[in-house]
Amino acid sequence: MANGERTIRVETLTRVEGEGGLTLRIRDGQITAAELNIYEPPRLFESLLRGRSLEETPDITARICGICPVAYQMSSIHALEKGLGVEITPGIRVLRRLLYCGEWIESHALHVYLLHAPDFFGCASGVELARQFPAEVKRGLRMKKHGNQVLEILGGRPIHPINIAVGGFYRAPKHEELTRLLPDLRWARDASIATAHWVAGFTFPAIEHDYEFVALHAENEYAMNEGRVRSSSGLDIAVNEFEQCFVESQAAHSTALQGARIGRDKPYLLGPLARLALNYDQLRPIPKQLADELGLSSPCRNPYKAIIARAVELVQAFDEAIEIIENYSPPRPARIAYEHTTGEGAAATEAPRGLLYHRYQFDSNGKLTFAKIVPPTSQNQRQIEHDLSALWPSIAANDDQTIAECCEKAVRNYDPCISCSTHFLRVNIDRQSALPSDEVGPS
Amino acid sequence: MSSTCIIGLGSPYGDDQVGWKVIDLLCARLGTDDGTPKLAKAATPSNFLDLLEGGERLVLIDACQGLGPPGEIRCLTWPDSQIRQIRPAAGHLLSVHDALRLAEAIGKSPISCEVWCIEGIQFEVDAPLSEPVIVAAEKVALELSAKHHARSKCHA
Repeated sequence: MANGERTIRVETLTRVEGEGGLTLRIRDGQITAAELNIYEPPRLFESLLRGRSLEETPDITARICGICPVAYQMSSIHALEKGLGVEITPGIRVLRRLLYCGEWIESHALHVYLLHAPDFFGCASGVELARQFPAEVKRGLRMKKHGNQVLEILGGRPIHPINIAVGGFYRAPKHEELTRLLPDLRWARDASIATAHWVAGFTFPAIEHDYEFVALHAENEYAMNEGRVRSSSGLDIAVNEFEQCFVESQAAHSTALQGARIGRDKPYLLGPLARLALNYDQLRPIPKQLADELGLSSPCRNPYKAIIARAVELVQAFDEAIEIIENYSPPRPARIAYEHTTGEGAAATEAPRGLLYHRYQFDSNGKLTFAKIVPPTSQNQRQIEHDLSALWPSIAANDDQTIAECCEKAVRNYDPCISCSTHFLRVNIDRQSALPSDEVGPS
Repeated sequence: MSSTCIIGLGSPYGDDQVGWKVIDLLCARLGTDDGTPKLAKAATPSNFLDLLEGGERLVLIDACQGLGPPGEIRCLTWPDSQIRQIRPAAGHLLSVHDALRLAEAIGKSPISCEVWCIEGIQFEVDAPLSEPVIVAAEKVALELSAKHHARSKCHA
């Protein structure tokens, strides 16, 4: 320590896939700054898209993330279709919901079992957890596999799907290609209910934050691909008004832009807890009954319980996927034709980690002239920093290693991305003291 | 007699196809009779977890870089530390090493695991398999099918 200052650093985190870090600055025992240090070079996707054809956009934006490529494809496609004036058919719409169900399943199952659950048992990894809970981890891996199978059938491959087109799908799957998934999906729905009960039995820190939840909201369904942007403070806007209410700004300690509400200091929270808080009545009957049983009917403000919300959304996704497949007939045509025209469109969808906003402008040749992408992880950054500051009093008395571990867990509540979580390990601690240097004891 | 599961790891990119190529060659050599090893192609190490039941002899074939000249073949036996270097964990993917550890933890551990690594030189999109790698693939397929026939004779 020096001048009553203490700095705790956790090195390594990211925007969507890569690495970033964390710094806590403490003066006289009080936290003065909690910074999410995102130091990975900007990936510059918005610039990369300029000049590319709008048909390439979903395949390029999919590359932003290996675990939620569908979210990037869906937000880009909906934005482009709005700009083009393309109206998709109900059959295409429902197939896109099924595709999104597949992504929520594989992403949530991975996070619940291999990334988040280990934190509740003092395990350093999913492999370590699997030694304690082999049957549960096997169950999680199998659920993830079935999510990937949905993606593979609809998207042509399980990661970075290639069958997703502006206007629809390049090819709609045959009826039997999807219906043969039903036995596994029915097993998985039961497995996801068991998952929710399992995670609800974990021991959770008694921590709650006064979150402002933000999510898409639709009256007749649990919002995934469309809806109005709502917040728990009463915001209720169309997606094309997003940039009038939300802004991205540069923080000196981060190469990723940080999302904020215009005119408000308070950060906001995206993701499963926000979705559940704002869309509880839109849950399907089975997940809703489960959520009632698990005590989630009033908004849950404990970030550690995001794992329960994620499990409930697993049930939601499996249940909806089953219904869609049971009633499936291939949409004809699988893709709506359109003419290139100058245009602009914005859209938001619910990525597993929260609301993902895209806006594009394009010329009459179908070339992009402007692209803006606001990912959920960047929007959650300020909230993560706020959580870490709020966490400080309850962990301050611990040694640095324990503090660093507590901070990592607080970040993992957000499911920032697999590479974020798994690389969030190296810890550097820089202690400074007000005492003369020759009186500084070992830290 | 323990069953054998032979899995080619790869992608459609240049010499990274070699794992899949060996599986194609083995399919042609060994056919699909009873007693034929389970042959499969996988894109990622986590894919082969789905193919394991536990207790089988697992053979993985994968492309690699940095072991030697193009087409060089090396056979590693789990838990050789060099297996840590194969398809290291990146982004959202498990490494071969992690996948084998996870298999062990969930009771799907193979009775043995050997990893055949074939040195590649070109991994670009749309690149074909290079000549030395094609030759190596044929050698590995020949050796694996000979091993299979020898084992079958022993147990006949």
